[in-house]
Amino acid sequence: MTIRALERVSVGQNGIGSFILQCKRLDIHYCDHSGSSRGMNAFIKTHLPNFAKKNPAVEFAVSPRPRKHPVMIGHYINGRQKAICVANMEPSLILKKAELLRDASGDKVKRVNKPVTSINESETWGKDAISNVQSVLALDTNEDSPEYIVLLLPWWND
Amino acid sequence: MATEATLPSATSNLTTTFMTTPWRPSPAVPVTVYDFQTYEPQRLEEWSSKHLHLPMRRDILHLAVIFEGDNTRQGTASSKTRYEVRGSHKKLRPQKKTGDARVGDKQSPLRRGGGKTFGPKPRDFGTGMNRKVYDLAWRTALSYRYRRGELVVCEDGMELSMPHEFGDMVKHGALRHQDLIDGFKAKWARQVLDGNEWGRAHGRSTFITTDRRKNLFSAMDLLPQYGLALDLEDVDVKDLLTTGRLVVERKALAEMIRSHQSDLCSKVFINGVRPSPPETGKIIVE
Amino acid sequence: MRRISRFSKPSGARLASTVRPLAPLCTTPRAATKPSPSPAVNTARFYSSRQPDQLPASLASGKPAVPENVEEIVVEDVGLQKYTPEPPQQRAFVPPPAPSVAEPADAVTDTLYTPATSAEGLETIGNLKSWWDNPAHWPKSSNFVGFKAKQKVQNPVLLEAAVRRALTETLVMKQLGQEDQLTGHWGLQDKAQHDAVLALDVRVDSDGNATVTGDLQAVAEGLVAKGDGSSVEPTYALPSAAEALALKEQADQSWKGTSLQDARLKFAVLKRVMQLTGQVVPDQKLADIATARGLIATLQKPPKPKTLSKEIQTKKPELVTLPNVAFSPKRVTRGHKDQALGRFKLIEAEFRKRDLQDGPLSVPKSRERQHWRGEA
Repeated sequence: MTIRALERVSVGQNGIGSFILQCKRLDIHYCDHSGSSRGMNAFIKTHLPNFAKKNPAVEFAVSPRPRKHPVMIGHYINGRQKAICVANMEPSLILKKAELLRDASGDKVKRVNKPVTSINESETWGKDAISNVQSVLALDTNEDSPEYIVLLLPWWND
Repeated sequence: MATEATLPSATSNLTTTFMTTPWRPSPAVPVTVYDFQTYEPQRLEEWSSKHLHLPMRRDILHLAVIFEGDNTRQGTASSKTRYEVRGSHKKLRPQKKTGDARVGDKQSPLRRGGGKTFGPKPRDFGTGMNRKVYDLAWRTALSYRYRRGELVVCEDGMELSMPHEFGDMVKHGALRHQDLIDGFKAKWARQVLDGNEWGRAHGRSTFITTDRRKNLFSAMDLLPQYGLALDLEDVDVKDLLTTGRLVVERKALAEMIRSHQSDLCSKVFINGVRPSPPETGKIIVE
Repeated sequence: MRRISRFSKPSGARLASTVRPLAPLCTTPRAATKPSPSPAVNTARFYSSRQPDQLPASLASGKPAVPENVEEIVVEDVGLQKYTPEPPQQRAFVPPPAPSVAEPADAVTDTLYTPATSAEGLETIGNLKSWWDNPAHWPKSSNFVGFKAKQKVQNPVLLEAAVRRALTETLVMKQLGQEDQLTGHWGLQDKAQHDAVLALDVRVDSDGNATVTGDLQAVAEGLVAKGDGSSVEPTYALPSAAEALALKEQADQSWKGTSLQDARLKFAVLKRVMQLTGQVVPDQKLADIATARGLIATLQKPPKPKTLSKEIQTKKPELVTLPNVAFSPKRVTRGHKDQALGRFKLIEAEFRKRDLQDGPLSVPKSRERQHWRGEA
């Protein structure tokens, strides 16, 4: 028996073939007077020119916000935003926060407590166990070899 | 690399110059004395670095400002406890059989109009600070201003001199209404302050004189957005640190320093002589 | 030394033209002109009948126009004594007139008079609070004039020209031995005197000591000359930028090596620079200024930018020119976002359709405030 590859349309994944940065825009707000913006003002002067040059895919919008703490807001292509208050931070730390916002996907923060995360949908224990089983059986009927037939029982039929 | 070859010699050269010439700060700093109103330089003087060129000490300034704030608190807030609230201490209704909750007297803190359990009572919020540290804070504040170029020393007798036409008009009774007199003073003072870059557009100014000067103080009362005038006994470290600059009468500055140098002149007599404070205010150019 | 040139000038000038001395005789040629016979009042103001022996010879010998009516003159004179002319000082500032109370409407005898029933068409006279804001009551010539130049000079070329002029003048005074004048108040001069100062030749030796050659005496006299009060005071401080640049190019630059270690010299130069350019050198920078070159560098250093956006525009233009960086010098508000999206136009169009809003919606805040107050 030869091994045949399953013919399937490949699922689009960011980074395979091409990579699209999820962060499309970074708002940078500072205040001219208040002390909490001192690090931010230094960041804009020292780090921002280089950082912006290295990330041409991100639009940087710098504007003052008087009498407020300095804030960086990332806008993502899924329509969500992520804001970080960088009050009283050192310029180097603010640069790290900017990198964090740039690299973030824009998704809600999820709890990850499994060592492996699959990008494929679960075919066995999904929401509806019975429909899953049926679909597997239907798949296997296309195959010639009957030993592939697995009997999957619903979880309540223990 | 080529730069690496030249670098060591350059640094060694630098270190040798540092080694041979130790840093000796100048014992005195120059102070220009101006005419108050026209801002014309009149003299050049030399003041001791220990008075006007101390290193910045944020911590000491903070201590001093907090100390002053504590001591200016009035501390007269007062409320009545249940024992001070007026009225009868009779039990409001019997303990049992009324169907209502049990109650004591009507001064109970739980009831409307009752006493306050842990309310404020008059007290002294004042804290202490070591005299020598406070004096150091005072001169540090002046030094901070000096180093930033925000200390303008003016000649004695600092007063806003009005145009003599104004005096004539007042004498002739031409200015019958107080609005006219105030309006004139305010406009004149505004012109003086703006002309000397001391006014609202340049961050306001604090004017310090030895005693109250009639024209200057009344004009500054009319123009709170242009600054404020203080006489010597009203000045605190906090006043020295607020507004854009200090415009100080020479005598007032000398007095401020004289009364705040306890850390510089010891009270202990050595060989029958008390050590004198550093020499200051020497005239160089007149 | 006159503190403020304004104080004596205007009143002095007016005194000469309008107010004449009353009783004693004028010995000026003007008083010696032939008195016109008809206006008795005028003659009485020029010579009183009480002191005929003090009449100037020309008047005494000439035929007196009306020698008979001495009585009349005396009568006029009494009237004059009662008359107190307005003090000349009061003319610089005009106080409001004495208040007068209008007659009650029913007491007016004029048959044409009809009392106003609305404020429309009546003259607005303002109030006493804003009295001095009117330029007719407080003329510009009465404004405060300080020592330093009104307009602060920032142009580096002009600053250099000012230092050169100040230094040359100071060196002249020092070389002539007028040490006490170094700290004094020097007047501003006219253009000819200014050019004469710059024409002087300044030679600097290896120790930084400078020597000036030329017509020193004339320059020194021009500096300490007191304004006579009658003529217009010269106010030529600095040449134009183009002239200063031309002067800089022709001149030998060695004068910049002049030593300013002498405290007296430095003080005088700084004082003069302050007068010419309005630039005040703070005290803590004085010790670092050793030569004229150092002074020029100190003055030419631009002031610290007040906002981050200004600083970036001047010092870090590369950040502004990046294609993916948008810089806003002012706060970006919701309104700006609406405008960027084009939503504002739609709102305005809808308003216009319903005749609710006339003109653009995006009016400045101050105008909106006026609108709410019903002023506009």
